Order: sequence, then structure tokens, then C-alpha cells
Amino acid sequence: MKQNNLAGYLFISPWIIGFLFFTGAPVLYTFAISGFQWDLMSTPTFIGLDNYVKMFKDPLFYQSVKVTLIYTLTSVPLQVIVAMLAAMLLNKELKAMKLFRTLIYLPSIMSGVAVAMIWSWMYNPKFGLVNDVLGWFGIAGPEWLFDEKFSLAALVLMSLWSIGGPMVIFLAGLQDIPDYMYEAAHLDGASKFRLFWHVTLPMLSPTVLFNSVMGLILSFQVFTQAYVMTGGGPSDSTLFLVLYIFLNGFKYFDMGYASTLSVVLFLMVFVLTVLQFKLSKRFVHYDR
Amino acid sequence: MKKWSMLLSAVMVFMLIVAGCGNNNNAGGNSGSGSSGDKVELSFSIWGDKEFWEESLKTFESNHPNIKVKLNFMADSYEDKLFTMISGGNAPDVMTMYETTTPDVAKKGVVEDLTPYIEKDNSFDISDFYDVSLELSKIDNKIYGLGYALAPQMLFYNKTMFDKANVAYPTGDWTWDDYLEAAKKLTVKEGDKIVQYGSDSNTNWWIPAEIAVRQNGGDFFKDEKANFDSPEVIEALQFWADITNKHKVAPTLAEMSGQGDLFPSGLVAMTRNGVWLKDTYKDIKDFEWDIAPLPKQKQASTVLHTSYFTMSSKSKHKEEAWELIKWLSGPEVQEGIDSKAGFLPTRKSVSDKEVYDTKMPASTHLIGDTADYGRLLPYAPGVKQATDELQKELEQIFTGKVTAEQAMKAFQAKAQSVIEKNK
Repeated sequence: MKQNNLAGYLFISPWIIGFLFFTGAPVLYTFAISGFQWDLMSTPTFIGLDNYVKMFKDPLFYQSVKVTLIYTLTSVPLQVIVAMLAAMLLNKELKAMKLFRTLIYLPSIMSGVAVAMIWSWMYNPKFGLVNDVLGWFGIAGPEWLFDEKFSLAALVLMSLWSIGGPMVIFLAGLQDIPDYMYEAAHLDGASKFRLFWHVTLPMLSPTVLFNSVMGLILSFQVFTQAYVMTGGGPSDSTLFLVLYIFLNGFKYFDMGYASTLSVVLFLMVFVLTVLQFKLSKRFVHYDR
Repeated sequence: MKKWSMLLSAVMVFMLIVAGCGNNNNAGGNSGSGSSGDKVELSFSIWGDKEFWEESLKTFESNHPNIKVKLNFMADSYEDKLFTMISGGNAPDVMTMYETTTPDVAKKGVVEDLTPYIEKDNSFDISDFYDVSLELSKIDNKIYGLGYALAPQMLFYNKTMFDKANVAYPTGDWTWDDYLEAAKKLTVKEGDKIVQYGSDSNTNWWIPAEIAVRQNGGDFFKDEKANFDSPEVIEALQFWADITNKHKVAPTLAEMSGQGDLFPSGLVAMTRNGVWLKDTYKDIKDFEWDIAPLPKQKQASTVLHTSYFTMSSKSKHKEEAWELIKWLSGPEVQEGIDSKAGFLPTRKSVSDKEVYDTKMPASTHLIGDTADYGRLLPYAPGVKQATDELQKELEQIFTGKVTAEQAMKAFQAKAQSVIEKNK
């Protein structure tokens, strides 16, 4: 038995070594740097917790946390719901279903920068598609990315476009639900809504959990959209935490402070993920 | 037996990965003199026109048979990559440095003082360089870098639109008011909709604002201190905000979004922008265009962009690195790249030759005059962070949400605190 374990470890060793060197070590390094003042040029000076003190006094830090939290709390639930609905539609047996599945998935394989460019154009207040369509219904659209009241909402809406990833996972989840459950419920006279509420949803709950956790982690890491489309503006209304980390690290070359912010980001995601797992024990149904 | 073969194959997978990594490391190592015998190997980092620099290094190598140069070309995220190399102890021997970064790296001892090399080299004449080109590389009378080009901000105008509206072409005598009058005549309405603006608003960048402030006799940064609440600054910003919001002869920031550059699309008659855009605009077929000096107010002014060749203070081959810097900032290289790109050479002797490519627009010679009145970008500690913050204020001013006075009076203290923090 022991020998078998050894073989197993050896087989995963490339990944383990990769993780230790390319993920684990940099993570520890980040923790260490957060105690230093370092501009990449001169020797780092140890300043203890000064970077953390600075952070708690920095209004832009609070702004970036606020932006990131609002985005996460709105976009993740919406993404999960939309992806699930899309998956349920795409789970029907229709002739052209493969085509539809491909079309819905397609945006997810596009590069982030390209998507961001397309959407900046779509959101153009005067010539963009979004306001054109709103115009058909007599609605004068807002200035989207240029109005601090709408800029973050615009990015949330945009995130619902690339739901191909969670959608595919939901689809797999749906196809895992055995037909006899539906048949049994149907024979008992369950309505369509009851079928969904008492069969589909409980059976999908592990998938919902997985997609929410992934969505949460990804939404805490939003960068490209903000960097390309708004640069964090207007008036810092889209200043995501990761964008703020990037600016401090690679524009102002304040590595210590950027690391401090990264440590806090790490802790936030960690706590929220643990919380999510704890809470989900009540809602998630595991078959096996 | 089965177990053994499984273990064996696992070991082999492991070995393969380790061996793979090992090979990469060997290939990646470039320190030391290598196998090139007596040859000294230098590394040199730059962005931009890769083909040009490759060619130019070949010529350098044939003139200096004892030196081999490894080109470290980084097309994007140049500074991130360069600083990562510097912090890892792998600084290239010769590094091209952004002009506003040069004072920082000089103060921190990352780059070498070139003055001793300049002084002892009889074949090198520093007085051939425009003084303005050394504005940011000369600190306490020590020179830390030499440039190869100056790229001014100019006025680009659509000749066809001017002809149609019967407006005289801009000249160096134009004031802001002349500009505004022309822009009014060049703004075309169809019903309620403006289909052609007289002026671009250029508000998504702080540099045109910096130039306007200078033209009005002010400075955003004065002697490395924030100077945002001065009347010259406030007046200048308000004038250019009014161009959009009050006179409505320039598009709003929102109207410009996602459209790219409005000038080549024929939506604006005039734009204030960097001279390098000539290279993009030369493909315009729908209309004729030319360049002119920017309109002046209290004085003529513009920003000249540049960059510096600097020597790593950790370089093991400083004499050879100096030879390379001398070549890169020398007449031959400047003639080559500046005529191609339409930049102003940093050397007077090259500039006098007027080597510009004839395919450029008629008034290309005007670029040369900018050396007389232009200045480099401003510098203060933390200038990048301060100008990022400034950009946010400008957005508010140029969208008419606040007046220039309100914004700048409040911003002054914030900007100064950024500078203090970065000292």
C-alpha cells in the first residue's frame, strides 16, 4: 500500500513542485514584502506594520473594497441564476441545440481585452448599441461608463454575457439528475415549479455551491474590464481592489503597499469562501 | 511486479520534468562572458521599432568587433519588466529609461553618472545636444542619460475642412481665442445634431492640459512642488473646459468613448496630439491634413517627449557600455530613426540637416522650432501617482461637474501630500 502512495505522489509531483515554487513561494514572499518599503530599485527597508497602518488611513483602499464587494454581491448571484436558467433551456431536446450551446458558450473563449473593447463600444452613450436599443423603446440611455452611478452596473451587466463556464457545469449537473426522479415526482402530480424546487434545485445544489465559490473568487480578481474600459473611473467608481494593487505595484512601484493590499485580498477571499462552505452545509444536498 | 513498473514510470515522469526545468535554466543563463572568447557581451533594453534597433546594433557590432550586444526588446509593459529585471540583479548594461523615471533611478543609484565618460571622451561633444533634451537627465550638474529623439505635441488640422469652411490655416501666431473662433466656424450642425466638431477635446489625457497651463504662464509642478491652485492653472483649465461645455465646439468625453481617434475618422477639424501620430495619419485618404504649432496664450509652449539611454551602475563592462550609449545617441542612429518617425533629433547637428522623410506633411519643418519653446514633461517625486489623481480631477472639470477653481483648490493639498510621501 505504501508503495502505491509513493507512486501517486510521484505522479502528482510535477504539479506539487510547480505549486510550491510558482504559487506557494510567491504567496509567502508577498506576506514578507508587506512588511517592507520597496520600490524595486533600492534595497527593501523593513517598516513593520506601517503599510497596514497606511492602508487603514487610505480612502482609496476603502473605496476599492467597497467597489469589489458591491460588484461581487450583485454579479455572482446574477451570474449563477442566469447561467442556471441558460443551462436549463439548453438542456431541452431540440434539433439545433448544439448550435445554441456553442453560441452561448462562445463569449467565454474570447480574450478579456477583446471583450472589454467590444463592450466599451457598445456602451458608447451616443453611438453604442446598448443605448440604440434602449432608444427603440423611447428610453434615453445613461452615459454608462462615464457616469459614476452607472459605471459599476455596466460592468455587472457585462459579466452576465460571459457565463459559458458556469453554464456548462450546470448543464453537466442537470444531465446527472436521473430521469426516474422526475418521473416519480410527475406521477405524484408535481407541477413544473415543484419539479424544479424539489428535484432540480436540490440535485443541483453542489453545482450551485461550486459555481458560487468560483464566481466569488473570480469576481474578487476583476481587473481587465476596469483596466481597459474605465481605468477605475469615473471618480473611482470602478476602482477594483486588484486594479488598485496593480497601480501601486507596477505603476507607482510601491511593492510593499501592493503586497499589503494583496494579503488583505487573500484574507478576504479566504474568509468569504470558508463562510460560504459553512453556510452551504445547510443548503447543499450531496447524493453520495 | 505491477507496482514496481508503476513506480518506475512515476519516477520517469518526475525525472522528465526536472530535466526539462534544468535545460531551461541552462538556456536562460546569460551572465558572464559566455563562449565568445575575448568578446564582451552587453545587454540593451528598449521598446519601439524593433527592426530599426536590430539593424543599428548590427552596424555597431561591425564597428566594434570586440563587443556583442544582446537586444532585450520589450514591446509592452516595458517599465514593469525592466524593474523586475533590476530588482532581480539582472539589469541590462544599457537601459532605455522613461524620462520622468530617470531622476528617480539616478537618485537611487540604479544608473551610472555619465559625466566622467563624457568629459574624458574627446570624440564626444555634449554641447551638440539641445539643452532641453537634458532637462530630466541632468541632476546637480551630473548627466545620467542621453536621448535620441524629442517628440513634441503639435496641432493637427484637417485642411479639407478648413477649405470648405473658408477658414485660414492655423499659424504660429494663433492665440487660444483664434483657435476658438476657428473651431466655432468649423463646427457643423445637421438639425440638432453636431456632425462635425471644430476641435477635439483631448480631455482623456492630462498632457494637453499641462501644455495649456504652460502656455498660460503656469505650471502644474513648480520646483518639484504642487502648484495646482495658481490662477494661471485655473484659468487655463477653465478655458479648455469651456470649449466643450460652454461653446460646444468639442465633443464631450462620453461622446468620444469607444470611438478611437476622432481625427482620422473626419469627425473633428483640429486635434492637439503627439507628433508620432503622423505615422498613423499618413494613411488617411479621405482628406488632406497638416501640422501647425499649438496656439499660444501668454507664451508659446509644448511638451517634448523623450527617453534616455542610461548605464546600469551594476554593469561589469562600463567602458563598452559607454561606447554603446555614444553610438545610440550618435548622429547616425538619430538620422536613421528620427527621419523615419518624424521626431526632432536631440543633436543640433542632425536637426540642422533637416533629414525628415519627404512623405511627411508639408509643415514638418515646424517640428524643429519646438526645441526653442518646448519643455520636457514635469517631474516631482511621485509624479505618476499625482498625475493619475490629476486625471480624475480633470474628468470632473471637463465634464462640467465642477469648476476648475473648485477642483484645483481642493486638489492642491492632495497633490502635495502625494509628492511628500514619495520623497
